[in-house]
Amino acid sequence: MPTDSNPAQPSIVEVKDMDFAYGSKTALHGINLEVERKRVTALIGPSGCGKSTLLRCINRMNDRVTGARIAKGEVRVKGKNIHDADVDLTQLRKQVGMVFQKSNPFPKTIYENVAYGLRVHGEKDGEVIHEAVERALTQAALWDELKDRLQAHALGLSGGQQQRLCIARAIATQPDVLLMDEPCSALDPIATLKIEELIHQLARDYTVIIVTHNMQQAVRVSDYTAFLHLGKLIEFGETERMFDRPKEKLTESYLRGTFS
Amino acid sequence: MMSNESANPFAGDQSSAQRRETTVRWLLRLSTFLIVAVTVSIVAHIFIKGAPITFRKEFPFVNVKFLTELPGTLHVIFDKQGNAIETDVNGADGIKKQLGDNFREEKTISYSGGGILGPIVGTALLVVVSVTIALFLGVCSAIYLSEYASKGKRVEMIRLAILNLAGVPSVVFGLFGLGAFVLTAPVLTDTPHERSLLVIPLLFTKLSFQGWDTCVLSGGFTLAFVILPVIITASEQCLQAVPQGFRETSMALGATRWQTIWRAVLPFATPGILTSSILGIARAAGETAPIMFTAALAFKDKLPWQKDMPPLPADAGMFAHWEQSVQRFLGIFTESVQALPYHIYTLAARIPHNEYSERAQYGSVFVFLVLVASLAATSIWMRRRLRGKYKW
Amino acid sequence: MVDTPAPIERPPLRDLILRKGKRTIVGADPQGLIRGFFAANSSVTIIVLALIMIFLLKEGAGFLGTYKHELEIYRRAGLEFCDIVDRPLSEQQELSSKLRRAVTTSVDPIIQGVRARRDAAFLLKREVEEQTKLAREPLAAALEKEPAPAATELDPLRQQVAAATQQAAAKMNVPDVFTADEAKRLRDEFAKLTPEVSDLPPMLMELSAAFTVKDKEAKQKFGPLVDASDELEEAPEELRGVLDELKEEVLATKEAATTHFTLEEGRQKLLKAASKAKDPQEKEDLIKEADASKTDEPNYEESIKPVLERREELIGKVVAYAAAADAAAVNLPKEGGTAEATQLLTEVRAALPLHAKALRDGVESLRTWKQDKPVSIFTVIGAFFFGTSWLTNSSWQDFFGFVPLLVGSVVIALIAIVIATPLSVAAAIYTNQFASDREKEIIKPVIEFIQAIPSVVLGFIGISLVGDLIKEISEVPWLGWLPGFPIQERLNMFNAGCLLALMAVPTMFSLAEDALNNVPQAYIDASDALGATKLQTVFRVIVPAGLSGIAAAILLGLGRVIGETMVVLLVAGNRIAIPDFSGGPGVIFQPAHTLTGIIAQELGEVSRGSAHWQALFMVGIVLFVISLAVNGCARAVVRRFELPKA
Repeated sequence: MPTDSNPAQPSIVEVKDMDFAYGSKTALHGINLEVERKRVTALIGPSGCGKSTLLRCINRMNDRVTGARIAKGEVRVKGKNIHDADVDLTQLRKQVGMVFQKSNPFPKTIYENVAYGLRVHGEKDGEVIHEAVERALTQAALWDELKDRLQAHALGLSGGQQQRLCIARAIATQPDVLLMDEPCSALDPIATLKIEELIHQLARDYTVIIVTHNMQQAVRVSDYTAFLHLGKLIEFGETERMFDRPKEKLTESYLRGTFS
Repeated sequence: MMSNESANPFAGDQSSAQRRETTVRWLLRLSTFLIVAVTVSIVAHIFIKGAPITFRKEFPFVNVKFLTELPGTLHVIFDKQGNAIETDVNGADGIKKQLGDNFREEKTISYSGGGILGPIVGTALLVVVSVTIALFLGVCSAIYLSEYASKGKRVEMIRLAILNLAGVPSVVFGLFGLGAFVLTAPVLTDTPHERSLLVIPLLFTKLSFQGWDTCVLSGGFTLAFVILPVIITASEQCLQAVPQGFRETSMALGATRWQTIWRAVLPFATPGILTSSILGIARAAGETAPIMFTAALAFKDKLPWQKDMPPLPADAGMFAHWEQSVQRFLGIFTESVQALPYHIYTLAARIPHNEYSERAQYGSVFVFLVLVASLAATSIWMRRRLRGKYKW
Repeated sequence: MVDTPAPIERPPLRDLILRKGKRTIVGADPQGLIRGFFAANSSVTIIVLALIMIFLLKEGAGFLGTYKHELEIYRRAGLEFCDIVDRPLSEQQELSSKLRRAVTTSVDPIIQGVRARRDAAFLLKREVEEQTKLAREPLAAALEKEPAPAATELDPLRQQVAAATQQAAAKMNVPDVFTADEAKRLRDEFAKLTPEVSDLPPMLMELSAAFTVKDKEAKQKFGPLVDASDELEEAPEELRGVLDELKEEVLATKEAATTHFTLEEGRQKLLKAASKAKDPQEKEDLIKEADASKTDEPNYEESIKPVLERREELIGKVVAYAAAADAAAVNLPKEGGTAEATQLLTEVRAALPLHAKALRDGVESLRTWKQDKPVSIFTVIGAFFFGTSWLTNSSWQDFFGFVPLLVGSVVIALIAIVIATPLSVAAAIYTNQFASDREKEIIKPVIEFIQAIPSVVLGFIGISLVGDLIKEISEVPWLGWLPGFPIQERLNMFNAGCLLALMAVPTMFSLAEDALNNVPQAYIDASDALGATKLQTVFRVIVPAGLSGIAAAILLGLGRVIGETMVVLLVAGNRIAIPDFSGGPGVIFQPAHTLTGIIAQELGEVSRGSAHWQALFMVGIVLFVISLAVNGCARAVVRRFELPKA
């Protein structure tokens, strides 16, 4: 498989020769992927290609599905195989945050939504929590909009605000990696634009892996792009290069839209 | 590769959190299984105490007397050696005479002798009447709510009424039944009672609002309204479960609304409706308070159809016989009856406890529980099966 | 049907459609008729709900008038006057019995030994007699015969008795309160027992005498206490004497009035029948009959006079008694022989001045009491809703005060809810979030099955099983520190509450589980992705999100529990009194009566239209309103806290 990621840069997420199966049905075949630190990596591909499944392998969200398992290979985050017995799932997920397709703030106040991650990880100091909330909201570009109504109900926000609130909630625990599963698919173009801007800024502090079905978005926000098809990683490389000169026929036909 | 196997970035501080997690999980499990254990032990207690009274070790394996005789007063006669002989009111004198000087004392225990046929029959009658009425009204209401009604004030009111009716205490239904059916419901009679609320003269007779007295009909109607909300709700769920496509297909073929309901909806909803009506039967059979003042008697030495009728003349024709049979049959519904739950109440609350009354109590409770529980279990089981079968 | 043939040029399809539109049955569209039929059926629930209210009101609404009339007689005949003194005075008996108990517990340690010896000896004697019953009975019967049978006939019987008695005496199990010598003596003396001699054996006489001496000694030691007890017991003697005379007087007036009104009612009926009668002869007879039963309403002013004449005398006695009660409080010794006695003394000392004060306060009411003060409708409403005694079939005066029943119902319901809520919510959380499929297959059917257990069966279980179980547990010595333990009554509010809790579990469980099921998966995903543990997700996200549903479940469970009849009727103990809350949480082990239970118990035994009958329907109305209110609250809770659609 052709890949042009820079081997000198240390990878934070490494997927090595991984097969993933739901029961007897194999969903991902022999995936190899190295994600670079503090860059945005986009996963693209037609629906059902397994991009969301791959994303959910990284924070083991698939664990909850009965019968779902890694059949072969391994996933390493920060150099550690995340399926090792001594890996604490809560710690893993604290360091690998996730944002979902549909915004899903809790039916609580804005403040409590952002503070939730800290609270479940045992933070009791009000000062610390308050600082973290302010930092997360600032990073999510929400602080100015919302600082006067932190105690308002989160479900009263607009769709775009809700999604940014979810991002703030995910980064409040300062994860190393932020997984985003089609974060803009339910939003209007203006809200989408805001989120994309935000992703750019987030890349300064976080490693972002984003699943998107929107190729323009991949071009706009990502540094690297991985193209998946039928559970296989077809091509992975710098976004600009890939969209200009795809190496694989399949990639080219997908990007051109002449895909059957 | 910066992989360093010894450093674990995801090491958790597991011990205390884990322990708390396990403790709470066990507490929750304990509460759950406490409920299960209590239920099972109550049922087991009744089975252990009641089964030996209902069943026999040798042929025919059931206590035939207990299941086929009417309740009566139990007479226990002690002789001077301390032996106890159990008999009924007719046998008591004979045994006393037989014992002669050896007779020491006689104990009578009300309601505890004989069997429980009367209560079983009474409960069956009440259930038949109430379920017939409730099923008719309930299914019709459900059809309206599910097939005809659109959202609006009227439907909202009906739904509100169903909810509230379901919450009305059963003893209030008893009061209602007493006021409405026992004392006020209209009857056709030539000689109105003086308590009659209103008498409307008809052609040959009079319609008098004087009530039906305590009888199967009064109790059956009262129980019907107790279980009506259950039946409506369940039937509506069954109708709703029939896929919308069936209706659309039928309508698209030019069928009228009623044809659609009759041919494309009801056939598929009927099994579910019948299943839930079994639950209604169990509920109707189990209620005590609504029949206390409307239908039930503590003691009755006749079955509802054993009514004295004037003897027919020898030359009475077919028609006279037939007419009397019809009268006898209709008479069943205007008789007051014994009912199992009320019989149990009588045994438990109205007579002093001793080993003899205890036997009658546990026997009745056992039979009652087996009847009601098997109905409920059938319904639960069938519902589970149906759910698996009809996954549209 | 179309009358005129359709024009030929019409296309057949259109014709068909038009014809269909016009087909009618008795001038109505059949589809509309069918629809109307179902619509009418669906209105049945509304109609029934309305009918319930109408019939409850029809039978119960007359209550205020009837009760007002009864209270009027109560006042005009002067019963109320006597109750001004009688009510507070009734407290005296309780105080007095407390003092008696203080005396007994003080004296007890001293006389315990001798009493035990005496009682043990008498018990042995009874045992011997019981065991030889079969031999004794023929002899006793023979001895009673007239003329007395010949000795030859009696002797074999005597020998039988002697043989049996000797055997029984030899086998006697003598307790160790007796020395070996005493045991031997007892055996010897009891071996000679025979129905022919009624005198007690000498040893028993001695033991009884020893007891009497010791008892006297003990009473002397606690002389002041015994005196105080006696004094309090005798203090109201004179007051009671006067009061009883007055009571007799007013009761006669009341009875005369009651008779008058009963007869009058009958007379009105006769007159009504007469006015309808067609036959003049019959009419005349009826009127004659009616006239024969004519009575006059008693002259209350006259009949109260002799009572009021003794007003000052009564007041004098009240004041004297109150002074005596005060004095008793002062003279009461500070300490009894035991801690319990001291405790009782303290209680009585505290209660006595209040008791005296209540009586003295009555004096003013006695002076101002007027027979002709009208009874307002508000007084009647107050007497029902705030009346603290439900007293029926009384020879003095029936009261229909609703508070004791309400308190019983509410306390039992609270006990049930307090037990059922944590259990069923925990079960719902466990089943919904943690249980394996295998466990679910056990839990769900079992809990569903509880619903099918008829309430009368559960009530029976309460009488036959749970009652004894609770009582036995309460008698375990190391549980004695729990409030209310050991319990007095097998049937009590706690017992009923436990069983009602079981009844409420299925409702609350299934509603709570539904509420948890309805929590969107997205919340759970979000929480998981943030690294929350399962437990944290459950208690920080799922339960708070399902809280309104759980609250509604609790409310509906409460409604079910308050309306339940058979369990409380059988198990709650049926004592019509406000439970004594002064003992703290132990109150839950007291018996009580309930709103539902009172209807089920009493309605069968009252005559239609009487105040009692109407009062029971009033209770029914209140229950009906409570059930509507609880339902409304539950719906409001759900609506108020419904999750906004994300």
